Amino acid sequence: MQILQTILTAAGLVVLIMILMDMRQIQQKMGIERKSGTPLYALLIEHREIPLLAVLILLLVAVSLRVPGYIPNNYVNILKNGSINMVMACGMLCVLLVGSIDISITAVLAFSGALIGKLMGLGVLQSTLLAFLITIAVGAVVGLINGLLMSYGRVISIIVTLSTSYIVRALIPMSWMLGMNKVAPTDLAPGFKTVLNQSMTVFGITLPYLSILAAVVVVLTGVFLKYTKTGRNLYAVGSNAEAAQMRGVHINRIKILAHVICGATAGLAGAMWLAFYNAIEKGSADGNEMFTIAACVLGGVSVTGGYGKMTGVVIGAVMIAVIDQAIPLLGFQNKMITEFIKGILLLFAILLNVILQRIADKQALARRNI
Amino acid sequence: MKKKSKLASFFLRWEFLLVALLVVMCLVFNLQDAARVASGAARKDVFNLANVMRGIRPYMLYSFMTMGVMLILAMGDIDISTGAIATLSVVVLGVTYNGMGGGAGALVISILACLATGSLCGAINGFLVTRFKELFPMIITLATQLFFRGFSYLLIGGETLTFDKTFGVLSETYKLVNIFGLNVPLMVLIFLAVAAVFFIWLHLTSGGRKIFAIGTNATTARYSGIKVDQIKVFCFMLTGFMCAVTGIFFVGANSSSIKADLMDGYHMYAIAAAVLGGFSTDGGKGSVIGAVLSLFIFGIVKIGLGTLFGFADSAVNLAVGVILILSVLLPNITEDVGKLMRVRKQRAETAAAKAAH
Amino acid sequence: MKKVLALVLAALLVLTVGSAMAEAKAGDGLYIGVVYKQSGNPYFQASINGFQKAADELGFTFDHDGPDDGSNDGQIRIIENFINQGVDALIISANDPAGLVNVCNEARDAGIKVVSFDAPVAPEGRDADVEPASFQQVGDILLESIAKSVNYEGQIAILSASATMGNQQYWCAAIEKTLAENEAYANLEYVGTVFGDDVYDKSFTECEALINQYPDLKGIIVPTTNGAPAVAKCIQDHGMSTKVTGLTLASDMKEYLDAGICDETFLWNPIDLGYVASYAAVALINGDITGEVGDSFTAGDKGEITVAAGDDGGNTIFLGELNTFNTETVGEWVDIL
Repeated sequence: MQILQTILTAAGLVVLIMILMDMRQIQQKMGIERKSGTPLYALLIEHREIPLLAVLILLLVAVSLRVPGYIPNNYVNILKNGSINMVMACGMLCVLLVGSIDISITAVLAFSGALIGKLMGLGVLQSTLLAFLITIAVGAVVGLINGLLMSYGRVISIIVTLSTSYIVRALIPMSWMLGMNKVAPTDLAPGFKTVLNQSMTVFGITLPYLSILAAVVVVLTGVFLKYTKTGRNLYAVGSNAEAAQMRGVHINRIKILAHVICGATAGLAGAMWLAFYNAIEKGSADGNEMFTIAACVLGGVSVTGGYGKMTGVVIGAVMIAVIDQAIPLLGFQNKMITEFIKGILLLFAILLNVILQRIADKQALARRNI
Repeated sequence: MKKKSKLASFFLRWEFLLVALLVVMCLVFNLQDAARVASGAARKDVFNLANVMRGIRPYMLYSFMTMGVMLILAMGDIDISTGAIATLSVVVLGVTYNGMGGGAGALVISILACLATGSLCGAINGFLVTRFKELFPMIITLATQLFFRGFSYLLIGGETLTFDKTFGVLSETYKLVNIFGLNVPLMVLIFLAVAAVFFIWLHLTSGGRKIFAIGTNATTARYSGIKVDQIKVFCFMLTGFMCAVTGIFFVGANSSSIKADLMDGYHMYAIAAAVLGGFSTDGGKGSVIGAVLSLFIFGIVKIGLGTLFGFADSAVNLAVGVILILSVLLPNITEDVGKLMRVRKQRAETAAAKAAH
Repeated sequence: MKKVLALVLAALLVLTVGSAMAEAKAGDGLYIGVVYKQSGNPYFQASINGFQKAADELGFTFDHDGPDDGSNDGQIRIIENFINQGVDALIISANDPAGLVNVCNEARDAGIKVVSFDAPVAPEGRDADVEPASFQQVGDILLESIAKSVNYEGQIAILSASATMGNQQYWCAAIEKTLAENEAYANLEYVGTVFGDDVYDKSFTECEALINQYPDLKGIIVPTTNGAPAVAKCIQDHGMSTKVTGLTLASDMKEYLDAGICDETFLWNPIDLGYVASYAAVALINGDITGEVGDSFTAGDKGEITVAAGDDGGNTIFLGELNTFNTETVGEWVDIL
């Protein structure tokens, strides 16, 4: 356990440094853009996450006015509650980039979590690291099946993943799995039970290990997408498959890879869920896949493929977490009200994106005419 | 030669395969039923026409919705807000009825309000989808789904609406009616009539062909003078209307109890039925007969597995998932194999020609 | 001699017939369908053990199923299946009291007896109803428990499932009523009820909001089995001293009882619930009772039970007792519930 936590701590520091570096890059870019006299909207379009960031800050200010001390009291909770969605959003980003979608992620979450819970309950599994690896492997296998059916079977991704989500979730209540039972804290190995519930303090800021793990996944995905050839190919396949194929990219392989990544993150999310909540059952996280997709779309990811940034997705996921956390504090205690507000925000964000894009296109066209 | 291929293509039609699947399923279930009675595991036969007619009703609730979803898939779009629209419509139905103090007049007006709400919600979807073409309809309807559900909650909160006796008339829609000595659900009769109208419209008139044309290639359709946007908005509106109809039948089945969280997951049932019926999210194909058949197939599979094979309700979805994947996968594989064989034949022919040369 | 032989033979005959009579059970050949709220819930697994116990004693056979999604229309599907299989009685724990009335009445028209247990079907759709305890009883026990844990002073709150669930609503109302009326609780400040939808992560988030809003919160009552472990886990993670009580499964709460977050939690015995419901159903089928208020029947080792007037204006059979789980008793229950 100590080893895992040390790794997480080290990784957390790396994340912090990378974020700081990225900030400087953005600043440089902004400086250059201003000098050359590019209008503000162009900046907004290049960085679709900036308007979202503004909305997020507005939201935080609004809530802070209503609930004094909201941020200092709640940032740890926001970080924690957003983490699981954040990890799944990383996988979802990959899948959306190649122009497909995966709605089986929460079924995979419940199944993989239930599987290691069952194994621990039987006393077969004691190692925390092994438990995490098993969930990732299970998720990757489901992702592989999704990918194969989608690419070589030419079945549309929404239908494939709808079917696999039906199948995978139906496996949980089978008698060899959980049956009528659910995984309770007493089933779990002692080390596993507490591994993600602790946090470390850096300069007086509390960072839960759960969120550090999420940050590691985010950075890995971000680096993969931005700096590796395979990662760039994901964008290429999503924006123009034919062109990518002519350049010698194996479209099917890239699509399968995206689905495998998505499945693996969903599996990991299952282990995180179980380690954090110490309980999992057949219906756990049912319906949450829509909020993972929402986090991506809020972050400016195009559902038709080819466009989307890791930073945007992070902001989108944080935003969803903030809404979840803030709405009850504002006095609305029903899930449906929270969903209502998420719905309006989602609609607002996607329409804003489209309108910005249209203005940009018009301006570009006008410039070309001159 | 030509005649044979025509015959082959008739038997390879998707609808025919669905009929075959239905027949095979009924045979298997009947055999299992007989085996259970013979072995004494069951005291009487379970899988007979009367029982199927009774048991299929809960699975036919989303049939009306499927008729709408089918149109949207044919145009190459998707709508996952249908369950939410149906819920909002019945909530409006309940609120209007109780707000007017009850009675027959109030029932008529509230049903109209319910249908209008469904159509309006559909129109909102249609408007957004046609105005913001850059966006995948799935995302738009995901957002509107959350919005519609939230709105139903704003209207009645966490309450369960209950009603007076007059409102109970709606429960009649769930009853069985006797036709030629057979008890048939009223709901199924109405549905078949509606499906017939849809069949005529979609397959026998130019209006219906326009929808498939849009699904095949929207740009070409636009250039050939089809008012794509108008038709799309209309279809989304019609879907909303059918969702409201589904809602009314649902209230009948649900003993006139209305809450803000009904019909969760119905959008997926409807899409599954339409996809098994041959429709695809790529658009441009599918048939009403296929969709109707697949509604019955799903109903009978679930009844059979549940009553005869001891599948728990949660395990039945396993079968649904498998059928759904296979229904799309198998035609693709057959197509691939066919292509492969044709290529081989061609190669053999060219090789033979070369050799002769 | 011949006469003696005849007498002996006759006596033997009487004896064998008599013993055969004694072995005939009240429920022989009967087939009962059990419909619970949702699949994958250990609570109902325990109640099924109760049905099994009664089935062994009475000789009937039964099948059980619950909807995958915990919805009312899912239960309608399952009830239709059971009607088709020709069950003699249906024993139902309803997701929506009013929503099952039509389909239950269809079953009754077909000669099937309808008994609800745990969560009632509305009175017009049932023949009998078996409940653990009246709403007021449950509310009072929960309130007294939390009051004891916090020494009868300080802020307390309720985390319920949802405002739509009949039971939850009535328990909360009962707690609020006693709080307002009973002098013993004058120093308790009730800050309100929040809803976790009986969903784990949602309950967790709601609990966090609650303890942020009321940092001095002394106690939380959680009358929902899915919510209670989430709330206890949340209190544990935040290292607070807030006490939790509620209606819970033993296996879910052992961890938190041992950690001292809960002093005691409660649940009626679902095994007894299933057991008594089976006896009531068999008594109804055999015509021993009609389900009217005042009818009484013998429910195996539970003894004589009388039908009483229920909380919802219908007839109800109350078991009247709740199990208490604390650090001593939870061990024996942890494998059952």
